[in-house]
Amino acid sequence: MEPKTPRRKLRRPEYLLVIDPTVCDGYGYCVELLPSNLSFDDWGYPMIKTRKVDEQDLELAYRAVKLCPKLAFKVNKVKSKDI
Amino acid sequence: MILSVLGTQIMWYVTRSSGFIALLLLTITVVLGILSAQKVKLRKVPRVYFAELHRSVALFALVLLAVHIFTAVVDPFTKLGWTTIFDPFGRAYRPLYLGLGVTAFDLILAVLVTSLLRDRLRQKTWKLIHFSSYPIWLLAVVHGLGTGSDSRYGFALAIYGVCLVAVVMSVWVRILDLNAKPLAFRLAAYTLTLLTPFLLVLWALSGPAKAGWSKRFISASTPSHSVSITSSSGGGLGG
Repeated sequence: MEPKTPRRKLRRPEYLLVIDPTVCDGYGYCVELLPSNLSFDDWGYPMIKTRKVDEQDLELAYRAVKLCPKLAFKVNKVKSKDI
Repeated sequence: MILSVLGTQIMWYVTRSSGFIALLLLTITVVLGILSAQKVKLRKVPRVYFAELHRSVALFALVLLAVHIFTAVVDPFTKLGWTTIFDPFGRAYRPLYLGLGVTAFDLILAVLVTSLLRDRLRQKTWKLIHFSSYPIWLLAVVHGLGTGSDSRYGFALAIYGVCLVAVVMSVWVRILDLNAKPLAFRLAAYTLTLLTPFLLVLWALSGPAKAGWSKRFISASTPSHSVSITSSSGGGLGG
């Protein structure tokens, strides 16, 4: 029998976007930069379709973090096991 | 012959031209900042473009300002030391209007640093410091007109005019949108934005735009060859 050693799975971190709706003023930069994650609601505020940011959109996501005039848009890096 | 003239006065030419370009870029920065703050939406142009351009053009303006200041300090004629950057007033070379320009630059540094550290500041603090962009722009214009090497030339006045019109118009767009603010605040804003350009134009026409304005600054403490340099180099660009 093979010895059972605890194997740590190396998982890639995930990047989840977070919007603080109490702060958001509807400038819409994040929606324009991440159309696959977000869309505009009827009042011009961002509506989340998926929280998970694709790897190829990551740069755009951090650009949205940098540009958000209200600092309402954030990207959280999470290890998969944290979910 | 042209090369030899350039060789001795190249710093002087670069200082003046980079100053004009920096002012144009600062003007574009202010206009873009207002456009993005007002959530201006053009067809097919995402709003985020204004925000991104606002940042990039501001950084570009800083590069031009670095050139402007470097060449002004290095130019042996001005006799400015590097300490001038943090001790603006009281230099022999056109003391008041040079000092205003340095003050504007120092304030720009404050705006830059607070914007880079925006996520560590309270929004109100950042905004208050960012609002000093308006006086900074005004300081820059008064510095340019008042230092006055080119202020009597049509091309210079045209540049100042374009900058003034662009900023005043976009400021008005912003002010007309202030319905939420108390009436007294709005009245003060209207008065200020009507009066300031008026006084600026009046001052420019009564002083800097007239011939002989920059000669005023040549005092006993300035070296005697200053007269020929100021007039000949000024004529070179204007002609």
